[in-house]
Amino acid sequence: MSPNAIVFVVIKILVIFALVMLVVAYLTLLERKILAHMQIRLGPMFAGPHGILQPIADGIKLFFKEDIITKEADKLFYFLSPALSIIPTLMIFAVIPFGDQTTLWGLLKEPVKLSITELNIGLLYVFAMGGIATYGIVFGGWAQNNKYSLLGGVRAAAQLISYEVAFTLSVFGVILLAGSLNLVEIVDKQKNMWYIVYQPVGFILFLIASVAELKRTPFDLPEAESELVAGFHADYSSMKFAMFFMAEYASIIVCSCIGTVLFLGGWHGPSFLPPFVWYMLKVFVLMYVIIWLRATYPRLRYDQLMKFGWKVMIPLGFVNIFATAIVLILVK
Amino acid sequence: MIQEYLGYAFSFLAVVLAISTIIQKNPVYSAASLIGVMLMLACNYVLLNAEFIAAIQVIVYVGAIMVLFVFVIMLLNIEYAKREKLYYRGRIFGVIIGVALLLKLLIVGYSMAIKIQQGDLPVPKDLDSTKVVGKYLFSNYILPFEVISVVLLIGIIGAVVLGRKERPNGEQKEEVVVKTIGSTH
Repeated sequence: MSPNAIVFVVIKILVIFALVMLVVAYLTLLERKILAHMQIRLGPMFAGPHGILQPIADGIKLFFKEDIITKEADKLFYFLSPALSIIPTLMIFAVIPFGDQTTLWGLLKEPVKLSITELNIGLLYVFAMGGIATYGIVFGGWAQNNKYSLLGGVRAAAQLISYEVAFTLSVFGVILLAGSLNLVEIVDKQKNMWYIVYQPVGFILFLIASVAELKRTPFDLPEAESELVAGFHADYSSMKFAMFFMAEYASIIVCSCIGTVLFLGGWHGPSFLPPFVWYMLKVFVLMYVIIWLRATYPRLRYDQLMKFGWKVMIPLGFVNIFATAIVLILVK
Repeated sequence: MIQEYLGYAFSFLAVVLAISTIIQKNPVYSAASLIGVMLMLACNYVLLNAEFIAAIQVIVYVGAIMVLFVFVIMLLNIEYAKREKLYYRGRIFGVIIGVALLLKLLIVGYSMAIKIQQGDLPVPKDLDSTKVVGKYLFSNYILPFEVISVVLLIGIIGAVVLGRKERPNGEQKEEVVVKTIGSTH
C-alpha cells in the first residue's frame, strides 16, 4: 500500500467514526423525542431549543460522573467488558458500504468508494463481529458479581444464541439471490428490484431477529428494569456505562445499515435524490421502526421469548431458504 | 514478509492463551482464554488466504459454541476448588498422553511445511475462497461432507436421548431452567 492510500483509509475511518458517534448521540435524542410524542408528552425540552443540546449535556454529565467499581467485582473483566462490547460493533462499520463511488463533486481526481474496505466475505464478517460483541454483555454481567447482573448476562447469552440462528437464517435468502457475500455486490444486484419484494418473509424475520439481537423491547429481558434493576449493566457508571449504551445505539445503526443494504436496495432509488440521501433515508426509516416497536409492544415473558425463537423464527427461516432455493432452481 | 512475522505472533499468542486455558483456576478466565485461542486461529486462517474458514471459525466457535460454554459456567457457578482436584488426579496418564501428543505435533510440524500461498488444490483466479470451498465441498468431497452431516445428526439425537434418559419427565426440567433464568426469586 502506498502512503497516500494509507492516509486516505485513515481519513475514511475518522470520517465514518465521527459520523457514527454523532448519529449515536443524536439517536438517543431521536428515540426520546419519538417515544415522547407517541406518548403525548414533549420529551427533553430545556437544553437548547426543543432539547437539541440534550445529547451533549448527557455526554458531559457521563464524563464527569464518578466511576464506581464495587469491591466484589472481577476487575479485569469489569474494565474489559464495555470495550469488548463497543469495539466489535464499531469494527462492523469497516465493511458497510454507504454509497457507490464518488468524486466529491469533482474535488478528487479518482472516484472513491464510500466504504472503508470491501471484503468478499463482508456479510460473514458482520456476523463474526456481532458474535464477538456478545461477550461484552455476558462477561460484563458476570464480572460485577451481583445476582441481578449475572442473571442479565445469562439471559443475554441464551437470547443472543437463540436469535443469532434466526438472524443468520433470515439473510440466507438474500445470499442465494445475490450469489455473493460481498455487500457492495449485493447492493448492485438490487439496481432494478429491491430484495424486500422477493424476500418479504426474510425481511420480517430479519427485523424481528435484529430487534432481539439488539436486546430492545419487546426482547429487552437482559436489562428488564422492573425485575433486574438494569440487568447486565446494573453496577456500571460513568463512561463504562456510556460505552455499553453507545454500543447499543451503534448496533441499532449497524442493523439498520445491514437491513438497508440487504433488503432495501442500499443507495439505489429514483434519481431525484442523490444516492447518499436515499441511503440515509432508508437507514432512518429502519431506525424509526425499531424505536416505534419500543413504544408499541410490552416485554415478552422469558419462556415466550425462547419458544418464539426456536419454534417460530427458526423453522420459518428454514422454510424461507428452502422455498427460495426451489424457486431459484425452477426459474433458472 | 510481514505476513510471516504476523503468523508467528498469532501462533505464539495462541499457544500462550492455550496454556492459560489449562492453568487458569477460574473457569470463566479459562473460557475467555479459549475464545482468544479461537480468535488467533482465525487470524492465522486469514494469513493463509482462507477468509471463509476464518469467518466461519469465529461465527461457529466464538459466536456460538463458546457462548454456550460461558452460559453453562455462569449458570452452574462452578467453584474454583473443584477443578484443582480434577487437575491432579491421574497426573501420570496425563503427562504420558501429553508428551506423546507433543512429540507427534513436533514430528508433523518438522516434516510437513504448511503451504501458505497455494495449497494442494488449484484455485481459479476469478473465484474467492468462499466459492472455492463451496465448489470442492459439493463436488470432490461430497461424500465426506454428507457423512459428517450424518455424524452430526447422530450427535444431536444422541444428546437428546441422553438428556431424556436421565430424567423421564424431561419437559419439566427444561421449564425449570427457563424459569430460573426468567425470574429473580
